[in-house]
Amino acid sequence: MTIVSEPKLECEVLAAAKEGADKEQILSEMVARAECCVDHLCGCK
Amino acid sequence: MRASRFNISVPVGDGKRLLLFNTLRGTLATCDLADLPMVLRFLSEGAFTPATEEDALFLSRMLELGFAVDDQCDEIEVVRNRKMVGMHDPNRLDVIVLPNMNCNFACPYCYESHNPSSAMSDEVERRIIAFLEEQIPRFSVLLLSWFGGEPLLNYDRVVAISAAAQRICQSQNVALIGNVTTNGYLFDERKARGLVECGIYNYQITVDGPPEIHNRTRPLRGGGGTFDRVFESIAILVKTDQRVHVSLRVNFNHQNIDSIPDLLALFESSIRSSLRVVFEPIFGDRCLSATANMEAPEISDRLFQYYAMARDMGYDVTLGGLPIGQLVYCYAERENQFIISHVGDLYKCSVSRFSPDDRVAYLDKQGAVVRDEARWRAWFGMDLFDEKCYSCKYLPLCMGGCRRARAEGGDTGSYCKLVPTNASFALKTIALGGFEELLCRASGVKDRMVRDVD
Repeated sequence: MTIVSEPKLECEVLAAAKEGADKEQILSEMVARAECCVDHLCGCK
Repeated sequence: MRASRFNISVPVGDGKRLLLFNTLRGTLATCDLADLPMVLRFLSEGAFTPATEEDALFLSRMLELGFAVDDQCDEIEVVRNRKMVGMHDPNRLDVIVLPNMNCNFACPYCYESHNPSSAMSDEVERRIIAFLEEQIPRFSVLLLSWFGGEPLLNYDRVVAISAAAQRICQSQNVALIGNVTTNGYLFDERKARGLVECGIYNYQITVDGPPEIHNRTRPLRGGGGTFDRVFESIAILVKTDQRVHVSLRVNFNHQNIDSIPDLLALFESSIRSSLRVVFEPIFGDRCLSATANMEAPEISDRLFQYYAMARDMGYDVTLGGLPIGQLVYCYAERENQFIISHVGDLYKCSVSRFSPDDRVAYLDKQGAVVRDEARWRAWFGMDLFDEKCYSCKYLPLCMGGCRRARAEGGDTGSYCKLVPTNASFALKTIALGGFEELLCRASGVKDRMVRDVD
């Protein structure tokens, strides 16, 4: 079995949304995720 | 020990290999012929009592990778906890401001009602700045987004509030991420510089195709094409500051999707790396809706094809990868996210008519948030997930779908409340049926068998 991506620990998943999270960690999570609210808001604009 | 309920397997290479993905932990693995008997036995039996040392080692490895879980592990509770943590995220303040509900364009697919006399007053600006002064110090990051209407119809208001937000963020050591969703028609060099000086580096501008197509789908309200000015605005913006990034959005349906290559060819190669392409299906009206007029696999195939083409041409293609560890479906599920209208009313979802009857709160004279408790509870009080989400293997990736669609019971264009529009690319592929293809690409496998085993 070849592992392409390793499992994420639950503490890693929650880290950026927990009290006292590091600012850089929060920013990198927001940018890396490229989720709906980072790239564009919902609505045909 | 048992198999995780969130395992997805995809046969590849004439069934001689298997891709194994766990949507909760994000583990992605390829299983070769030698592994297959044990893996298939594991998947079909849920887990099994190890008869040999090899069995025990295999199961231990599956546990480590998240493909198996302890009997005591409640995976649903893990997902529910993620959603709760995401909804109550104390670190980021998301503020979306609508300085008007007016627009100089008349796009036939637009879902908004525009009012030419709507514009934010000095008093509402004062309340918003008071709100920002009170709120920003409690957070680490402010995400300030300008939306509308067309926000640049009230450029001075945008600059005034953005500059205030920038000043407060700097004094409180809070990071500011600023962005503007604009049709791009009103830009010039002075305005571009003014916005950049306020710390706004992210812009979304929509171009629906080459001139003959764009001018039909995004005309001026009084008639007339808009392509040339919008095209020029994009060039002005990206040349203003190297930190500027423009999301070049194409709203597509069956009528314009195949014009995307022609559009991509029009931009100078020197600015393409500053343009992040975003292809979004038009929703709403059945005559115009992409999902109502195209088969899902057709949309999915075209998206793969045109994103690959854009990447080859030098555009920024950032699809977000597999959404592992997603906490909420979208920004509107976060408690510390507010859409502030031009009259100071607060809403959650940006796909709205922004009628006073729908507001969840408003800003009082001191800029404090006064909730309309019944509507606030109606938005946040619903179950974390719909009943059928609990048996869905994709739940940890999507986190339950569109809250508005769930509240209103509306059609989303997919089989559940996952909306194929505006969601991340991976979620689109789930809604449109191309997720296995995405997994194959993520793992570097090219010879996918088109057959599911789950």
